[in-house]
Amino acid sequence: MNLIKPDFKHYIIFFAIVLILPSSSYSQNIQMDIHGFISQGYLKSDSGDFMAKTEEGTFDFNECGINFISNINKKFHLGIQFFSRDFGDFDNNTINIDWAYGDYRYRDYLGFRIGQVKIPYGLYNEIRDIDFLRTSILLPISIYKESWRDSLTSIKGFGFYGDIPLNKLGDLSYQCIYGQPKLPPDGGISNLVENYGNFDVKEIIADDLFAVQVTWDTFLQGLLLRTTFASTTFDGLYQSNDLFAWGDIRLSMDIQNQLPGQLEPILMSKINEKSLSKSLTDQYIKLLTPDSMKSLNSSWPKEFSDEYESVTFLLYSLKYQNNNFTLESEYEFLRLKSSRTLLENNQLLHNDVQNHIGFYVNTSYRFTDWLEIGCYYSVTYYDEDDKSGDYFASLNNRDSFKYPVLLRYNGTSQEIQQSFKQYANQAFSKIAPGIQLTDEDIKNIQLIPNYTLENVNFHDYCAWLKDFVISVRMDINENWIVKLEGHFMDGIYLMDFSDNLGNTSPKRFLFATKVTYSF
Amino acid sequence: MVNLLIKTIFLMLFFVFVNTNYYSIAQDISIITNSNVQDKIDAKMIKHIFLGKKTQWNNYEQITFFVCKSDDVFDLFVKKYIGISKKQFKNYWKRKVFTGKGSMPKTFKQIEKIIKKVEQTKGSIAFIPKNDHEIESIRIVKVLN
Repeated sequence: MNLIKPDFKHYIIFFAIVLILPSSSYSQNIQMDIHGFISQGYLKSDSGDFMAKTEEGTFDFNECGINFISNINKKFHLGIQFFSRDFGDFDNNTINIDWAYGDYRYRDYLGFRIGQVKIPYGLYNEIRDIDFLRTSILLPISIYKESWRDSLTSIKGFGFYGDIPLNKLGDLSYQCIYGQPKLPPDGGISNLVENYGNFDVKEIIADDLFAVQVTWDTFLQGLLLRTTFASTTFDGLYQSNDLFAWGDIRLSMDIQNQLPGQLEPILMSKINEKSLSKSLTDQYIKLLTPDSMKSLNSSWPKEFSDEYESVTFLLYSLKYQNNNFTLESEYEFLRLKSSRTLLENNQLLHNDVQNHIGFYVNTSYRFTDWLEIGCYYSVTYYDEDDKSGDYFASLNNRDSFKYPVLLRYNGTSQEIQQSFKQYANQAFSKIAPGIQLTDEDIKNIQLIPNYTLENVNFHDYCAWLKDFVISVRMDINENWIVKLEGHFMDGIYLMDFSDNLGNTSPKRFLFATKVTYSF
Repeated sequence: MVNLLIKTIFLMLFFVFVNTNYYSIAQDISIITNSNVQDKIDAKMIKHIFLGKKTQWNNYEQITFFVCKSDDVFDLFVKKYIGISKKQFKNYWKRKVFTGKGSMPKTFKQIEKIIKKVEQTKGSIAFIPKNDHEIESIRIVKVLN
């Protein structure tokens, strides 16, 4: 188990108050409650890894938490929950503070929270780590992406909340929060950027996050409707890697740095004038190189910055509960407006808006005190406007992703040989009539890539992830729960599709089981 | 796969109708409060109180509620006044506990203990098996429908 993270230090005082105060003579009437849980699971997939080394089978799947709540008086309480989990490479049992805040309930319609506060998002975000409060082991990934958990569970800031009865129309409750989320450089969102953006993330910084949730407990017994809106921005500093050819950037870089030393001597051998040879070479290279790539030096890797000027989530939730039957459904719109800049020449590479969508339908039924069975169907798309994955399917045909790299460089070299010959001969016809370049003169012009790439295959199914799940929950007693679950998956969106060089089968089965003890 | 999903949903709906129980608001549970509580109490208010949504009486005095742990009474109470099962009620409060929003309700198995607690705690409310006899120092509430 790793050491407690440094940013936990400032909660020591808070924790001390929570623990020490109840034992002091002054506080003999203050109640303190302690609750906790521990769970251990196992995952096994038949093809490709899911979030962990599941193809081999893995026990890197556990959680534990303990909380302390002190009711200082009837209106005010303090609490803290420590949490640790391991899910593949995520978290690795680092102990974190899940939440820690003071809560003052002024009136039923208005209460305040300050500290590290859970982000209210949909039906399950606040309790996503508390699996004994639901039927399934894994939440629908279309809405509750496991890899994003470390950033989207809590903020350091404040919130307010309340309950408002609406008489015959039901009840309304609301929550608003504002504060700083966590965005660790080695966390889930960084991993997703790396998987889909061909980068290594050096730094990623989130601005404040605002979220509001409104719940209508309707006049229809058991029916609840909820809307959640959240908004934030973040910036990233990235470094290119050698996973992909980087489109025109690397080729342009090599053109500008390798060709002068080859083209100038060829011209010198014909016209024997250094300054003219250099000038003709420079002009030719400028013609070859896109304006945005001019004057790139030969250093690699290069640094990029991303500015996500708008990241907004909108989620609609429905829950119907009638005795032992539960039906839930959620629909999410995620909009990302971002721009990317190559820092070496401050060149804006792209500026666009992405719309991701996800939804699921979940049902469960409690047959007996000890047996509950549920199933859900979850779907999420990388791009709302490209559900068929045409973009990903087209990548294999692009020059930028041609394999091997030498093949593309050889093809480009041959094109350069012919176009340079034509360019030089046109110039010579004006300034040095009678002098011509021949095929013999240009045959050795060659761009050499100083890197190699893996041959990653792209597929249309990189654009979606569909998951049909059946879960069985068995309550051994008040404290012990055992769950079994099967996932029938289609698509590899949100997974690292470069794993297995992109040859992960689109349809896979994942088995999960978990034992939980809570008190 | 979609057909399988549809069949599963229909099977579950079948169990819903087989297992649905309907309760009339019969007087087999008594709601009791501390004698200082004078508010008129209806069924919806009881639901709000036991779900932690109503925390103050009309005079802004804090509400404390107690839960009778006796299985039959507990079961009957949550189904009649809250419309959920005992397990769902416990999960509701566990959700509050594990998000820091509240504490588990105080529960007692013995009726005498609950009555004593209500007697001693200003602003308190609880439910017990139906009792037609007057108990000194506590108020047996006539619940408005």
